[in-house]
Amino acid sequence: MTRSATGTWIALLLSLLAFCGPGSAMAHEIGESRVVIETGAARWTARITTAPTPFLNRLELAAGQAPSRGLNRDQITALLARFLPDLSRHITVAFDGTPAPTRIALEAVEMPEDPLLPDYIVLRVDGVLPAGAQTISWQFDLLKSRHALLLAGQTHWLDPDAPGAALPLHPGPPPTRPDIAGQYLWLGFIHIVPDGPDHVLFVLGLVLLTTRLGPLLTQVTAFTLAHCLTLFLALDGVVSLPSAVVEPLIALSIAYVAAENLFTRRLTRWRPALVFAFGLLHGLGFAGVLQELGLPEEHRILALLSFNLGIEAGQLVVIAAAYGLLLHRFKDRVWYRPRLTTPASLGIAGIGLYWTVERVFTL
Amino acid sequence: MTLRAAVLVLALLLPIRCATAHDFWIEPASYRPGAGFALPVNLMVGELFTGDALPRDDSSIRLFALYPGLTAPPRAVIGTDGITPGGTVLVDGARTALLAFSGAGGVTELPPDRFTAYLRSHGLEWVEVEQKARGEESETAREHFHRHAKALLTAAAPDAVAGRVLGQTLEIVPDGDPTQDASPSFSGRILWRGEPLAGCLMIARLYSDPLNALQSRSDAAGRFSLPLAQGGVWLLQAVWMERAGWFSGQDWESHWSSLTFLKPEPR
Repeated sequence: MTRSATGTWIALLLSLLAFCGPGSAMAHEIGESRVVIETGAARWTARITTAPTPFLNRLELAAGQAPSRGLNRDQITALLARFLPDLSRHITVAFDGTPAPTRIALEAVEMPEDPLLPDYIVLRVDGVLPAGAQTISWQFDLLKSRHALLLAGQTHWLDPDAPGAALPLHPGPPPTRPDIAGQYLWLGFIHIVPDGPDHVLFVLGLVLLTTRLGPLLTQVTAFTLAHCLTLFLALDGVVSLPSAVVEPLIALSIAYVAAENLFTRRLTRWRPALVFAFGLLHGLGFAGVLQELGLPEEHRILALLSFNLGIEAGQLVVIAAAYGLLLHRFKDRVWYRPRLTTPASLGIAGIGLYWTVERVFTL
Repeated sequence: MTLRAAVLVLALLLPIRCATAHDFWIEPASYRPGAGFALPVNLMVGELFTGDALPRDDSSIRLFALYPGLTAPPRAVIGTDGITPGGTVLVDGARTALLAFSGAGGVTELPPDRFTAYLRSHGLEWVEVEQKARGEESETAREHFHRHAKALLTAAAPDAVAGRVLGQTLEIVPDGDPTQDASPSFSGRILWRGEPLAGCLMIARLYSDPLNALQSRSDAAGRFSLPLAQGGVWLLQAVWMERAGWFSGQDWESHWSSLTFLKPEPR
């Protein structure tokens, strides 16, 4: 292999490994608290719904007192009333960066007899809305799990202890169909490059089998049809498999296609069928990601199609890069298979096996 | 070597405030449910034994079960995805039963000062040393955290299930059945991937007095003891970390383990 060929290969491998991030980044644990902010012509109001006992206990702990436990509705109401004047110390509200005074009241305390029904309180916070205000920043340090803040028809997820971000009071018009299509197209694309090293390695495993276009097209078509099928079926709830099963199998499929490249240089009869089966698994993986991202209710099909197109675009970019960097330049060299296909397939198979083991034990 | 002599650090009666990390534990509606009771079981996240109930998230659960006896097969804690309580389970109240949870936690990023405070408050000073050796002490720490929790349900008679080893990545295993032990102490083992873990900081908090924590470090055999003199609901917790794998987008993988139980009042 020439120095430049070796350099190209190393650069390609390094660039692949560079974006080998986690398969799925999970969000924080989401609690049940909720904040709803409404604005009028001259005033704003926030309603905080949260569990009463932990809320009261945090106030007590903040005041250096032992927390009260096992309280009934009347006791909670009485104790919260006592702490109400201190609450404003825990809430920070600012409009366009300028702190705003708040007024706080206890609006409801609900503690149902049925232990399966949650207890909750509703706190009402309000104040004067400055004329022309564009953003509000909100921070309430007594909510200690991730919670939703609803404002102007939008949901913002707030993490405990995180500094309050400026949220728009008047978000622009709802996204148009082209906006949604573009957004989900991009999400689909980045799910492959750079967020999907496992899918990239699988596609490279397909590319490395032969230097002919026909077998590559056959495999990519089988893979695409299969993952489209399960992506649609999984999102419609027709098929479902836990990620603890899907993710290790996806990793194993990478190891398999790469390992098979070591033993054959032709498209075997079973390879398209196997690639199709593996494509079904990858489709379930894509569906898991899309379920986490969520689909807009009114434009579900559009978003789904766009996401899928983005995936195909990402896939094509990987194939084009592999063609431009490797196939086009070196496919006719005598050393192409022994010095490029074999070590690359070995490397991909090794990574696939590593991921398989890692995912079996961590998912 | 006696257990007392083996304990590396005696328990200290010092207020320990969590810096930034949030604890995780199982909180059943009752730690002493009666026979035939459909027991709501909450999964809690918070600080100082004061937490929020987490809605059930089926996709994150790897283990959520009731072990009614040492050799009895576990029963799944059932529930509805997306709502609290995390689950409900039927108990018979005859013998001590063990509830267990293992699941995905999440990922978090902490600025250096908050990460350092969290490491110190949970006895993970060695991570700080390793960070410095890697030149990462002034960088935002990226952490992937995992949750493991156990709770013991008091019943009419003790059961060896209390000390059953379930194979959680980080697991607290009590000696005997602490729900029936009125002596002013608690002893047990801390296991990391099934092996004794040395030097792990064990923190205990009493539900009625969570500001005053007790702590002790495990010895070479993974053993620890804590002077739990008061009766009431106790939370034992431990955190351990390892460097995230080569392909991970995080720097550290942390595992959080807890055990909650009702200790009888001293006689």
